[in-house]
Amino acid sequence: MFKMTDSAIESSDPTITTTMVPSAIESSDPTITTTMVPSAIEPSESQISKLLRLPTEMKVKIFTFLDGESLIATASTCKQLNTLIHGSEESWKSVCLPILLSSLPRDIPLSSAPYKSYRDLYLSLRTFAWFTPGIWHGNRDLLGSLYVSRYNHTTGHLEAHEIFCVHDRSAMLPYREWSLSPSVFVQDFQPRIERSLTPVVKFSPRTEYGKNNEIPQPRSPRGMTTTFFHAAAILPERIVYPQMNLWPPQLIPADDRTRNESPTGFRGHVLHRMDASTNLFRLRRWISFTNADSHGVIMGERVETISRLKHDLWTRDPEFPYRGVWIGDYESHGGEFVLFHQPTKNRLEAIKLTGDPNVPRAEYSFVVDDLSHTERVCDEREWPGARVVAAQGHTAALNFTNNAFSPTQLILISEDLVAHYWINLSRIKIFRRVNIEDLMRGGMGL
Amino acid sequence: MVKLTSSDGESFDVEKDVAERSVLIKNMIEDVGDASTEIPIPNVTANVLKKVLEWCEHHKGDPIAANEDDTDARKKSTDIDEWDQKFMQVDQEMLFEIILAANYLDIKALLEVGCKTVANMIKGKTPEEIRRTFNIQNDFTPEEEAQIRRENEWAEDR
Repeated sequence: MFKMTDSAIESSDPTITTTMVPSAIESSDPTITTTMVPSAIEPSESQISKLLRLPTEMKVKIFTFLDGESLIATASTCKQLNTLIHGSEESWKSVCLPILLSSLPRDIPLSSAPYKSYRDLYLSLRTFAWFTPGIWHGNRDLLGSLYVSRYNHTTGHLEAHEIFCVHDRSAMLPYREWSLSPSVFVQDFQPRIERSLTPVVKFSPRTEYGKNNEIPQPRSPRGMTTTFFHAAAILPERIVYPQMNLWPPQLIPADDRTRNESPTGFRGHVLHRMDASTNLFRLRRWISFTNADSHGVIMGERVETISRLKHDLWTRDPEFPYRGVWIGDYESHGGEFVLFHQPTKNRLEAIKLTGDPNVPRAEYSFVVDDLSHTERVCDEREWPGARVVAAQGHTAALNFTNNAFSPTQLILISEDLVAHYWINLSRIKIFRRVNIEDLMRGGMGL
Repeated sequence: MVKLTSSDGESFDVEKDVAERSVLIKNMIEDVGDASTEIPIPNVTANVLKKVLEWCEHHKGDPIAANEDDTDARKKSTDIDEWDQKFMQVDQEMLFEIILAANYLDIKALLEVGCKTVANMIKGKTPEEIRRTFNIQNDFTPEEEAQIRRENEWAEDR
């Protein structure tokens, strides 16, 4: 038995079952009932449960505030609640609602389809219900990676796709001279977001844990084999050294962090899913060939560690108007996903979620120390009225060597659009906000 | 001022806008057309009514929630504001009495807080812990118990 105590597993514990049987038989004896029921809440003089005596519609109202596992635990307490809950679509609908509301395209009406009921939907995907819609970032060498997880209402699966920024060079708009300083070039930036053709992670009602608790995933079109497996969070008190190799790195706020690398490719210790973090997972990828002896040859195995980006990091907030995931123009490196993190009202840290060989993922791209301090207000024709604040831009040579910060400026055009003026490079680069909610609903995200 | 009388005959003088947190009372006042009449509350005892009115007093300035459908509002978790949490720290007998009274008096927000409080008492507990908390007798036969265990097998070590 593992540490999880908040689900129905304890009811299967034989020691509990045996103590429960006599209690049911002797329930008419009040002395035994009171000793058997050491309630944390003051036991009432009445022998009949107050909860059970509530009218049905009020019980259901209470159940609509429960999560799926608590609902199942409640249904496992007695016959009355079992019958009531398993017959109450309203209760199961509430359980499914958070997933459906964030995943369904806006023009799709709320329903349990393709499942015949909301109860069926939850129970079918129950094992993977923790894989809620969200955005995830991976530790792939230098480049990083970004994923969107969602419920797919056509297949009824929980899925995650990798997303890429596509920046069509041929359709690129020409450089323009900045009206304020003709030696500086400004370039418009109209990127697109594309998703991987096949889901990188897929959980269906038929999905089962395989060998070593790893779950085989859809083969990529290029013949790559992938398995999903869980990761355990390191207890916060054990994270003592600032330089500890963790994913996500300390730069990025997160509830759970895990080991970033393993000499054995995270084999050996098989993690039980009850010990797994719901904010972390890993993907093992390799290319396999089958030779004449039908012995598989495995090449290029890599393990990627992926963590959930906390909801409040990408959610707009009037206090922190720039918070979110943005796409920035990194010239020859193309578009990159950048987290605009506002640890305080006036500070802005642009942290790369995807990176390049110069400044890789999970490093600062630029930092604004004081958003409230206006250096000037634009009166040039490009962005009339936009405020300009001082920033520090992060540059480096190949493989993140000789990295340094140099003075730059951030032009705050709107809460969805900013321009970063690399003074040393005589370039102004555009950043656009990514609409994460739209991506989770299957939209284009821009 | 409005005069309310509990089922056990105790009278309460209450400001009109406090009493009108209850849709039932509001409608009664409108029907009677005279706020000075005594309004009987036959289903609620004095100690519960007192508690409910304490809630109404604290929340008299709140905007009455629009009749929101069960969509976006429900997405909001079971968060309860601090004052309400303290208010709900009562014994279980009283908690369920408040819920029943809120339902009878049609005070949507109070009913909501009450139901959330009970839901929070359930959350994260095992079936046995829920039984203990709410004094529920396990009336499953051993066969049914085994059936439930099988359904929950996914959660066990394989």
